[in-house]
Amino acid sequence: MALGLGMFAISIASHAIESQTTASMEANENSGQKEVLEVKQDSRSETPNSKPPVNASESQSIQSPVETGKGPSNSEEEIPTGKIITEKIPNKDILDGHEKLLKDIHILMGLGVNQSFYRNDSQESVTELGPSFKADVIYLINQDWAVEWSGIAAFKEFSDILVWDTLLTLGVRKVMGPSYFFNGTWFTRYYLGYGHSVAYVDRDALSELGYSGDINRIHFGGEVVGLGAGMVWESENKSLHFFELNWGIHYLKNREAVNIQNDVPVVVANDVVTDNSRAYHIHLTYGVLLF
Amino acid sequence: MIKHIILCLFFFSTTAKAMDRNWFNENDIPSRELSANFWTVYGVQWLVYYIDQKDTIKEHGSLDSWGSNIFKTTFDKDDYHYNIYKHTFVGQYYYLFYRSRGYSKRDSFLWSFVSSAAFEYTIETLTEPPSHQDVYQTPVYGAILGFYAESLSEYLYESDYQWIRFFSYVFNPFRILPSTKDMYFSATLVGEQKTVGLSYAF
Repeated sequence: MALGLGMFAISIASHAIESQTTASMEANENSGQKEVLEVKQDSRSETPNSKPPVNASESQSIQSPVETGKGPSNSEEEIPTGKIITEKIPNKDILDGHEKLLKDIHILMGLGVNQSFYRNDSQESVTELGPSFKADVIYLINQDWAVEWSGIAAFKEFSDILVWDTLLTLGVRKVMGPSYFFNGTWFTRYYLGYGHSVAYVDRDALSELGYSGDINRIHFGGEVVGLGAGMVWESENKSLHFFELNWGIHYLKNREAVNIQNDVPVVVANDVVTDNSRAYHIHLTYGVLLF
Repeated sequence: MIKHIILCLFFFSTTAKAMDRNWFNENDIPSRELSANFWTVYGVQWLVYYIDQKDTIKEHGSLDSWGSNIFKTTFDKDDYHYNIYKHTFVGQYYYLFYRSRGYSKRDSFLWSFVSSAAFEYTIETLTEPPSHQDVYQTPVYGAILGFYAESLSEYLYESDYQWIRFFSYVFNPFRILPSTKDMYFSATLVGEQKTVGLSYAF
């Protein structure tokens, strides 16, 4: 019996033909509000090198708003051409008529400023204002609640020492209701997690750490707990924006001195912080919902 | 050691199962394409890691550490140049690759997360424990950078000038890839002859 192994076949066939056609449909939301949504003919063809529909039935299934649960079709409306192809809107529940707020996973991204107030048993100090970058992975559960996995990278200076915070937290968000003064919706968030702060000292080792050589950085670690409030609103181009103000406590429980040896960070000394050191963080962030 | 390997295999088997679920596959991409795309990224990750960390692997790498490091996730001590810039830069390529394969933005992010976790927990553990920062920042920051890189690439591609269109490929190199119609490992039986091979068709 012949046993053939290792056939390596590479076949190159037709390239993608960009589907230029978009279909327009009316979406009848639960609130009764009608919005015209654009759905591309091939939901997978958002990039120039993705595939066109493979058959008529696939194309038809995407064009039909009945199947997407968004409402009846309007066959009399002309199919617009040359419009920007937008993201496929899956057959999922939509919150408050915002087609981008699905009961699904989303990413929020924001930039802002932050400041910290340090305190232990013997002293207190405040850092300068610094930039921060915030990213949230949220999952909208229903109209009122969402869970989130957030990360903040924040920089600031304290007595000419650069401090870099990384806060990774899990939390929940609660919609509080519409704003009376702005066209937006208030929300609050509550979070807890772990924080990692790095002080770029670049000087002789602190004697209290019991290390005689030079150190480049001191890393502090500990739990983080906090809360925040903010507002989300929809712009004219239907993108969602937000701002939020967060306040948190970072318990600085352990400390590690790091020396850079051949570009590799090496922990040369560490200890447990016992003087009730903590940092109170304030973050003000403005951002957008990416998807 | 054996149980660690079994655990890894279990991880991948569950990953493979997840590929068929709509939660990871909003646009109903065939499961064999999902598998092929994931394993392509995984293979490239091993290749790049070996090339980049060859000396470190020889010096510190071992099967024991590869197995035991999986359970030692920690906050690494890397500099922000590495943790924020480089990991974000790499993460965007995960995102852009999956986007180029026709995944939605949401799915591209989720699969970037799977690929990044696979790297952290099954490749890099050869020399160091997984890092909390990397697990989060690589796919999340990468998706954010990839999102804007793709948008910029789209914008540049619309230009009438060829030299400007060139930069659309710089910001999204996967634009050069044609559509994947099918890419999969196949095992076929023709008569009494078994054939195992890799098929890659555009």
